[in-house]
Amino acid sequence: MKRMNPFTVAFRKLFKNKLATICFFLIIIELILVIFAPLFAQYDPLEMNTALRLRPGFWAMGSEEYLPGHWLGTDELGRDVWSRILYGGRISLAVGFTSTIIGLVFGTFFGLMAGYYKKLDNLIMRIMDIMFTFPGILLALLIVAMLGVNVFNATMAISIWSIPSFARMIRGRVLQIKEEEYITAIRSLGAKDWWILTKHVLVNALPTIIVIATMRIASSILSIATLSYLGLGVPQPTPEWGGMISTAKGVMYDAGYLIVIPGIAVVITVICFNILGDKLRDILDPSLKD
Amino acid sequence: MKKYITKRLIMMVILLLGMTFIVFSSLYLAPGDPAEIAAGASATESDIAAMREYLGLNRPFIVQYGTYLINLLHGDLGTSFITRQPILDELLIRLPNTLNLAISSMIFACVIGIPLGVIAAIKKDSLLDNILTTISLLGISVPNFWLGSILIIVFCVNLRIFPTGGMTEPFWTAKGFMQAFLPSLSLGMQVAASFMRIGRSSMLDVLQSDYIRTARSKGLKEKTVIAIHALKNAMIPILTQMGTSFGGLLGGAMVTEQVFAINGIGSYLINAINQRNYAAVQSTVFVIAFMFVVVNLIVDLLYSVIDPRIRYE
Repeated sequence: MKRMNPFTVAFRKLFKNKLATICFFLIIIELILVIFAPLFAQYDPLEMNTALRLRPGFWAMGSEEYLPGHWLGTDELGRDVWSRILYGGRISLAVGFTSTIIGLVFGTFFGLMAGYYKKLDNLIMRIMDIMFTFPGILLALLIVAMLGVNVFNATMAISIWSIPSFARMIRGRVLQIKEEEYITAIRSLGAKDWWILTKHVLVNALPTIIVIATMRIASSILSIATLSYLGLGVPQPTPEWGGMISTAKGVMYDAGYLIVIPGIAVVITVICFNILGDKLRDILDPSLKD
Repeated sequence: MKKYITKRLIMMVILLLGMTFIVFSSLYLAPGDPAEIAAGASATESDIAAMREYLGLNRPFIVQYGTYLINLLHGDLGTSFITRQPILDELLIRLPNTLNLAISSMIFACVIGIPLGVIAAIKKDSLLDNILTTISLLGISVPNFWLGSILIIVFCVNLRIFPTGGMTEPFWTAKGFMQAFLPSLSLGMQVAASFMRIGRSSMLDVLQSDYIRTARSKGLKEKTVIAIHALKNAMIPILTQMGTSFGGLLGGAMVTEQVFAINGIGSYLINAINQRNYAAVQSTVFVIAFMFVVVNLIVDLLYSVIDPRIRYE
């Protein structure tokens, strides 16, 4: 009988769950929409037209206020909201993925080292503990405050902030894997440390890594939205979901939809990644459950 | 117990030293010269040089760090570049508002999150469990600034039930309650959701354990089994989470304070960042992290009282 790749098995199990399947496809649709934004957005997200400011979207269809073509309406500077959501999603998702990957690479490295080499464990984990003394996005905020406000610095800040949680969880997994008999067997055959680490420990920790990464993308997207809302993430006028909510504050009494719409985009994205992470955890690594 | 406390205190000192090191050296990453910013826009070269001398910026890094630590031990958090007031005084005026917000949010999260998590566990796999689990997922996925803005639009602008912002009185007074209600709801939602998730899973673990089976088999009522035997042990993971969550609330308060125009240390920090008031940024970050470390120490010590096994690890 042909042996199936464990990831194919995991994927099959994932698609047996309706909710996870819906989330998976929503994320794929969203990625297509934002990557090919110019195909789906008719208007330039930065083009202002003060004559067309604060026009409502499809919910006001039939009234004189509604402008055909601007189905989500226009903002306080007459820019098309749908275009801004799509182009803004590019930044949110790009920052979410990039900072997760950077955090993952460094976090995995430190986690592997700390878990595998007893001598390094104390040193690395105490440094991680020190980084944990900054609650919430405080560390990211400190980094952005010192480096200056731009997308690159915000991405770096979120990446650095996510390293300790990756390192801690991966170390925990490595400590378990290290005690397995097959590792002792490979070592007694004379395998070098780097070989054991990359070919055996890392490969066996992969399910854990995938689960944490999926959930981390969700929190990174929330973080960039929060930083931008505080005016410390993506500088204006570049569209970003958190930044859009922030600029809409001034007109929130007249045009609540400018707050509601970008928020829904954040919530849908984050909830999809969280549900996907939850289900992947149940399939790949139930030991991670809170 | 004494040994455990000593160990935890030594650990705390190491953490605080590391934390102050990060906070202090972050100033070195900052582009531009702090002396130039402190001296003001109209300063001449010699003014800036004098300011550098005054701030001690021309001394070696390690000496500056040492002075910074000694000052911290004396409760001196430095002087604000902008107002020329001691930063400690500026923070102390605003701290009650932030604590008021964080504590009321924590109460909200406990009152809502823990019981709902326990109910979800007892009714595992029922419709109610599914609804509660979905709500908790929604809760951890909603950005608190967005939730806050939506609450303002609905309850302040349209229904006119609550004030749109500001915080002048503690939450246990009638006026303070109205002022703190929406901010606590928006800040506490994520924590409530995390309590629900952890409460559910830890209660499920406990309900499957042998001693619960024993309690049931000796004929105890289900209510007694849950209230007397299961709940106490299920609370342990929630208590640990409380320590971490309190930090999360202090961090999240920065955002909520902006949304609801609350004059707390979070708003102070954001203003300081925008004005490039580095000394104030450093000190505020230090104060928030310090409170977080202390709260975690208290939680750890409480934890060892509830679960004595921890002390012997």
